[in-house]
Amino acid sequence: MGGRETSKSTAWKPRFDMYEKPKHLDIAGFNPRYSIGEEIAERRGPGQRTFAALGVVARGILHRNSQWGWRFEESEDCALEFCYLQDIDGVACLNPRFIKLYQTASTDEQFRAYASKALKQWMMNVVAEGDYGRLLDRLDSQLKRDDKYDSEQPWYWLKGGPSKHSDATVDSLKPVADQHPVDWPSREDVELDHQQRAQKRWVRDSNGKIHKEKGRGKKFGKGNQFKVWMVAVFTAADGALVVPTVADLVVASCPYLIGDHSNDPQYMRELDEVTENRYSDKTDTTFEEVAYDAVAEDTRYAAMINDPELVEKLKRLGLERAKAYLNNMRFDGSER
Amino acid sequence: MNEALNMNDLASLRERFPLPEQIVKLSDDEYVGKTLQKGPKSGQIWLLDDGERAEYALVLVPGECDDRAVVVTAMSNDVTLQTDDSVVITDTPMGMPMVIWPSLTTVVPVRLLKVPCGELSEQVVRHAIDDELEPMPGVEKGRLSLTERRVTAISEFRWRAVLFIRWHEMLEKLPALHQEDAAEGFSVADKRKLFDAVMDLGHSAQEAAAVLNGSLELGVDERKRLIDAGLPDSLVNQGMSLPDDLLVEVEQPLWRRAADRIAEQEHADGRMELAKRAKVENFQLAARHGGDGRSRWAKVLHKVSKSEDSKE
Repeated sequence: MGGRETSKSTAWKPRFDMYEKPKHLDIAGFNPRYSIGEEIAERRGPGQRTFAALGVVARGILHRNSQWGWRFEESEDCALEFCYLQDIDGVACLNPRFIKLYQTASTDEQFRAYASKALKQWMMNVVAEGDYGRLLDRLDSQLKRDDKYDSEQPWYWLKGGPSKHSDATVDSLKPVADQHPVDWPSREDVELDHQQRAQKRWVRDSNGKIHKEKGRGKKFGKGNQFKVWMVAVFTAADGALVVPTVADLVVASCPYLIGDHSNDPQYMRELDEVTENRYSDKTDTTFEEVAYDAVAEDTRYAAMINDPELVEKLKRLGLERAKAYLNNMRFDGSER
Repeated sequence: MNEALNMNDLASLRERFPLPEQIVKLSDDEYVGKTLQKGPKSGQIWLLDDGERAEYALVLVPGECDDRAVVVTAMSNDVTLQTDDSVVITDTPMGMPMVIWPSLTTVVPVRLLKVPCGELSEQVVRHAIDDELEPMPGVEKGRLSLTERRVTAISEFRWRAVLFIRWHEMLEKLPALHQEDAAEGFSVADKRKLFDAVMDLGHSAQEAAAVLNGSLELGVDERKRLIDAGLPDSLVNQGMSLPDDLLVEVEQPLWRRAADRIAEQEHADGRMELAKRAKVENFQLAARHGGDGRSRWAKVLHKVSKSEDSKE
C-alpha cells in the first residue's frame, strides 16, 4: 500500500516502542492483565480462570433463554462443551470458535464480552443441529420403512423410477411440494415437543453412548398428506435424492421446526443482538433483512455463483468474487 | 451428547486437543510488531473485529482506491462450516485447516483489521480463488455437510455474508478526505470576532489563529461561552479540519489499540478523537519539527498513543 515512506538503506528493525502488544501476547508473564489469555496460552487450552468466565456467561444466556434449558442443563457443562466439541465418537476437537475467541480478546473484559456473542451463537447452532439431526433421522427411517422407495445410502429414489442422482434443488422442488398441502405442526406443537424432550432421561445405548430417550415428535400432516407430499417431491426430482435435500425442503416449508431460526426471518431478529456494533448507528434491521433475503435466495448456494441475477444483487450490496482481484494482488516474497 | 464431559478430565482434554502451537507462535512480539508496522499485505490472514464480532479474512488487495480500505475474502478456522462454494486450505499458518469463501469478497475499512494471523503463499492463494487453475494438494473444494452440521453451515454462511456486507457499508462512515479550510465561507468580520473571543478566553494569538484555521479545537465549555457571547453557532462549532495524510494514517491497524481505548473510555469514535489529538499535538510541535506526510503523522500518533497510555 502506498503512503508510509521507508528508506531502503535502513534495514527494518522492530520498534516496540511504537507498538504496545495486546496483553494476551504477553505470555512471558509480565504485565499479566489479560489473565484468561495467559492461562490459555500457558496451558494450551482452557483452565479454571477461563471456565469461571465462560460459566458466568453461559449462566446469563441460559437465564435469558430458558427455552434452551432442555438442551443445556448446567452452565458449567455448557462451557466445557463449548470448549471441546463432540461428535458421534466422543470428543472431537478444541472448538475453533474458542480459538478465535482467545485470539480476538486482549483483556479479560473483552474475553467475557466476545464470549457472550460466541457462546450464544454456538448454543443457537447446537439447538438447531439437534432438531435438524432428529429430522434427518425421522425422514431416513420413514423412507427406509416405506416400500415405495429403493435406497443405496445416502440416496433414495422411487421404485420403478430412475436411480440416477437428481440435480433438483430445494428451489426447483418447492413449487411442486407446495401443490400438495401438508398441515405442518404449529409453533406451539414444536415448543411443546421441546418441553417434552426436556423431561426425557439420558440413557446409555448398547454401544455405551449416552443420549436422550427418543421421542416421536409431532406428526407431519393429517392422514397420509406427508406421504403424498414426499411422492410428489421424488417424482419431480426424477431421480435419487439425499435425505438432507428432503429435510431442507421440509424446513423451507416449516422453518420453525429447526431451533429458533433457520430459514425463518426470526433468525435475523435473534442475531440482531449479536451483530450490533459500536461502529454502526443503525437502529432498524431493514438492511440486514434485505441483505439476508438476497443471500438466502438460493438455499443450496452451489447454484449461487452461477446465477447471474443473484450475483448482480449481491454485487449491489458490496459482495464480489475474489477472482476479480487476481491481477491486483501484490505478494512481497512471503514470510510467515 | 455421546460422552459426558467432565471437568476432572480437563488436563487430559488439553493434552489430547491442545491449542495449536502455531497459534501461540503467532503471538510472537516480533511478528505482530513487524506486521502492524508494515500494514496489511496480499496473502495475509487477519482477524477482523468491529468491537462486537470477529471473523478471519484473507487480505487480497490493500489500499484499493483508498488507503483506508482493503479487499478481503471471508475465512473461518471451522472447516465444518464449508459449503459447496467454499475452498478448504489444509495447511495454514494457524496450524489448523481453514475454509475460504471466494464468493464472499468485498472492500472493508482497514480499521477492522485487528490481529495478524500469518500469511499464505501466493500459489495457495491463487489456487484457492481461481477455479480455472489445476487443483493442487492441500487446496480442496468445499462440500456442504450431509449431517446435522449442514444447518449450521447454511445459517452461518448467510450470517457471514450479511456481516461482510455490513462491514462494507462502514466505508460510507469514514470521514471525508480533502476537508476544506474550516473557516472558509465566513466573513472577515466574523473571523475577527472569533479570533478576539478566543484570545479573551485566555489563549495565545497563535492558538487563536489555529482555532480559526481548524488546527485546534476548543473545549465544549469554551465553545458554549462563545455562543453565549453571541458568536454564530456554525462558526464556533465549525470543527477541526484534518489533513488527508492524518485521516489515512490513523485508520491503520497499528493505531487500533489506542483508538479502541479512547472509544471505550469516552464512548466516541476513537479514530477521530485520536486524529484530533494528533493534530493538536502537531500544532504544539510545529515550531520544533518539520516534515509532513504519513510518516510524520505516524510519529505524532505514536507520541499521542504513548501519552494516552500513561494516563492509565
